[in-house]
Amino acid sequence: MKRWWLLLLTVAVLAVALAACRGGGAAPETVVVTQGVQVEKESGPCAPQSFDELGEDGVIKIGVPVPLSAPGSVAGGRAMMTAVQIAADQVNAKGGILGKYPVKPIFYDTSGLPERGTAAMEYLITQECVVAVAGEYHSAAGMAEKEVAHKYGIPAIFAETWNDDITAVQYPEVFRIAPASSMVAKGDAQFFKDMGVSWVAIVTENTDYGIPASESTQKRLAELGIESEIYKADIGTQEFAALVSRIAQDITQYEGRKAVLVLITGETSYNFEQQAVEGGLEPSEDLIFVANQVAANAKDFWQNVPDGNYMVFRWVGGGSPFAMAQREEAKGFIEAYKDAWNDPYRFPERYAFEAYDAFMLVVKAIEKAQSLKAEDIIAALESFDSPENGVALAQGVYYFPYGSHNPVPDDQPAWMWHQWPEPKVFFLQYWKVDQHLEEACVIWPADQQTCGTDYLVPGTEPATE
Amino acid sequence: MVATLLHFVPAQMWLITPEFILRLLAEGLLIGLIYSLMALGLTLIFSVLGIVSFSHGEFYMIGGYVVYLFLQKFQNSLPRALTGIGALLAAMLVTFAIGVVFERLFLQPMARGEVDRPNEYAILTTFGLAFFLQYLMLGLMGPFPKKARRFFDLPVFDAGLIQATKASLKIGNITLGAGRLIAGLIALLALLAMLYFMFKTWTGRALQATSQDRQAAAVVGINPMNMNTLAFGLGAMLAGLAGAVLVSVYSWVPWVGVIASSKSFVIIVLGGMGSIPGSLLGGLIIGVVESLGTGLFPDPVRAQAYRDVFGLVIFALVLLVKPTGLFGRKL
Amino acid sequence: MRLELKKVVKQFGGLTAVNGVSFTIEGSQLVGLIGPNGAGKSTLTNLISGILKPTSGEIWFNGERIDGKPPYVIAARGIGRTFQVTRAFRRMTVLENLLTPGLAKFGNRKSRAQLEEEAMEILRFLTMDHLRWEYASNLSGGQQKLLELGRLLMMDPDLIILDEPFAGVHPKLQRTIYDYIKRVKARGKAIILISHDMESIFTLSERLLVLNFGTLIADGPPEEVKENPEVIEAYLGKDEEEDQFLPTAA
Repeated sequence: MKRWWLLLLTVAVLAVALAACRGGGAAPETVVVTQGVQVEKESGPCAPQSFDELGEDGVIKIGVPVPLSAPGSVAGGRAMMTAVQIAADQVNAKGGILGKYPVKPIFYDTSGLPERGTAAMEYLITQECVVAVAGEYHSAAGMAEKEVAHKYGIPAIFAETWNDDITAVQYPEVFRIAPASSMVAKGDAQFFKDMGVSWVAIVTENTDYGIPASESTQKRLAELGIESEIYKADIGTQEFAALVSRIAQDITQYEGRKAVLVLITGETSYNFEQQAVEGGLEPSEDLIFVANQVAANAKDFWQNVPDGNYMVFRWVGGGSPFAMAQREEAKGFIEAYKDAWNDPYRFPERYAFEAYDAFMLVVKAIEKAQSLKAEDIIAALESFDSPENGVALAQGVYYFPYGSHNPVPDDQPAWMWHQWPEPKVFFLQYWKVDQHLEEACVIWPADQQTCGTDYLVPGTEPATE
Repeated sequence: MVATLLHFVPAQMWLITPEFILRLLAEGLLIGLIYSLMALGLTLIFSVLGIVSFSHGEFYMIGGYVVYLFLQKFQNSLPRALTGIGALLAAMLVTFAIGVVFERLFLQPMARGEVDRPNEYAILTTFGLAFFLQYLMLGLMGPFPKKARRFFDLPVFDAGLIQATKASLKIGNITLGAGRLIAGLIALLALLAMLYFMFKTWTGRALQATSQDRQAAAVVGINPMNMNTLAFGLGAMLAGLAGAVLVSVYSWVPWVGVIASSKSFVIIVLGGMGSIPGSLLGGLIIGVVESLGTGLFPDPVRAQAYRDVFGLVIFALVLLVKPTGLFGRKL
Repeated sequence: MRLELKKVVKQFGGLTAVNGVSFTIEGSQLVGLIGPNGAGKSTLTNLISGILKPTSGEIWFNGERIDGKPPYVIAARGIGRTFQVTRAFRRMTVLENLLTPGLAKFGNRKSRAQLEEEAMEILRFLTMDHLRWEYASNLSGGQQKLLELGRLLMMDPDLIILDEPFAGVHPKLQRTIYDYIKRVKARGKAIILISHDMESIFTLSERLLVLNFGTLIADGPPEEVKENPEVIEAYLGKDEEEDQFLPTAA
């Protein structure tokens, strides 16, 4: 009786921790979202091995793991889910795969957690009998998911997981169209070099994506003679004032131009960015503030970072948003996406593009292979080995130069295995409050600039629109 | 090896200026005031009803969303100062109402002795409410982060030592965000109002009497059931108010209350469960310790990630010396 | 003032604590309620004041049935009681303790100034006015008992139940309590007094109710009850029980 409150507190803390990890998202659209289901027995993959083995309705299922609840990025998962649904609808409008087999995405909420990623894959492969998997946003979950794909030999195309190791382990089943962290780090470092920055405060998240990404970036920066400091924070952190004070204090040691690079994703980045400006770390001649890439979501960005004018943000993809908007293959998707969200200014996020393309890539591979067998699908994907032999989708032409057909040479990093090499790094900048994404300027690389200028010093406007 | 060791030496000792420390202190106090406000609500509920409310963070979350929605609807039709006050009042009203209704429906049976295992029951029902509110708001508001406009912008001026931009106030080299300044001030006013209420009004006295000795309060004519309802409603309202002032400072998502909840638990145990001065002091202590810890911890890489740890270390130390918390009643 | 109990029974599982007790008290009597330990006196008090609900039977007060009503309603009807182990509000001052019932005065809200005046009058009578700013937890056991009595009087009840007012109290304070009880009785209040202090009970009471094992075994003036063979047996018949019939020093 005396210590019951202590027991209660322990239970409270445990329960809150559990609650934070628990999933359970409500499905806003009509697609089925499946949750933690027990696998009845240790069984193997049940994917049909031929078109004849498909059920009466002849439906081909493709597994799509995405985060739909905290601590994962619900916004990211929803975007990807919308994109994949559009892809499925477009394929089925033509009758389905090969014009006759309807395709059905089976979504699973992984919450960005490794254990749920594993559960997702086990369920999708052994219960839903998917022939392939496309998706995932969080590296933490992706790292676990690749293991299950490998265990069962089911092909998996990772859409937005950046951790190098996803492909560096060189599993035959695992493909990636998202950039590898190291690719991005290289771009980031070069940008800062070109802008004449001498010190970068790298603010990153304590995850399987954030830690290696920050270390990779720090290394690349050092190679180019730029010093940096890494500051780690947990996803979901709201209160950043002390960290901002600290960075503001640390920055006083350095001369010349400095930068802040926000590698944290999601709403946590908005918290940091707004509080940074409030705390005196605002964009200026001497301080380039690179907000997290989610700033591309202009409506959310301006609402959550109202004082974020002149922040720079990175866009990684087959091309800059404007270039992609010009692609024939992308136009249908972009329009459908805006419609799905009922918002004419909602340009698809990068990961929406990736989700759409990953799903379509699986469809194309099945159509090329004319088979549902895992090894045939994998072979088909590997046959897309050069731009000429590649598949043209929304972001660009997909191809995988290295794989079992062409092992990664020694002078290339191991993660180039089954990696689409095209994602390029662009830097954009907002220069007016409440701008839409399409109004921002591309400021780097130089040959992609849309406003005829690189970094816009706060207070200035581009000479040409 | 040397590099690793250097990480643990305050390599830039000269960066730790008095101004820096003052800035950290100020920020810690500001956020501490809001922690105190929330903890006060939780301790009030515990002291009168004898239960720990696991839905406290969700009332914080609802308070924030109410302000957001209110401003969305009215910010173009009403003058700015009015919308701010109206939003705060709306948030307080809504959370109070939800608290009262929930208490009447689900907690009164427990207080009347109609429930077999009251402690477990209280945990389950408040937890249930928490999940319900979280997913209700997820369905209504969606997962995308929202933020309300500041209640008012600071006037832009430059008086040498003191300057202000729209977003922040700068005193010397200390820059404080406008949003949190306003939040801290409102929290302070609310705390003072609550203290006045608890110690200078009859209803407040009745709440205190009920929390000190329920049966004795009953035999002098105080209705403990009404006190339960009032305490829960007030507790929920205080959490809602904390959220209401912070929705213009932090980005708001339906699970924003989870952290607030766990922080409140720590604070009320630190201050002594059921103790009003304890929750006030506890909130300030945690706020300041977290701020100083993050700012001064030698390893810059981990300082922010360890933010919660600093508070918990103090918490553990206090409990080792005084298991009932700073102002805790003897068990 | 009229309190009537009709065959009141209280059972806790297999144990019958109060077994069909019936009696009536009218006007301003001072009634002593005695019996060996465990006879059911406190249970009976809890039943009358509303903290417990009878298993069967009825309790009527001033023409209204009150059994089963919550304590705060019964307090409003005009029954006040003290507790065997004092229950002052420990984290309030003496004065604040006295103000709680007054401020809750159902319907009839006097101003705080008026209430303070009343409270001070009571404190002066109890020779505790110099302690008005003291926190109740700092008082001695006896002073806390006085405090409870004072708080009780602030409610101006028609019926007062005093549960062991002399137990654990310094003799000097006992005298004060003794005088207080007499004066309150003189004011026309009805009092039920529970005590093991036989001397005081016998001197103060006009009537004695004797409980044994939950049953009312005697009801009458003290001289009569003293000679009642059942009563004698109840007190002397138990082996471990010391002879409680002789007046004991407290």
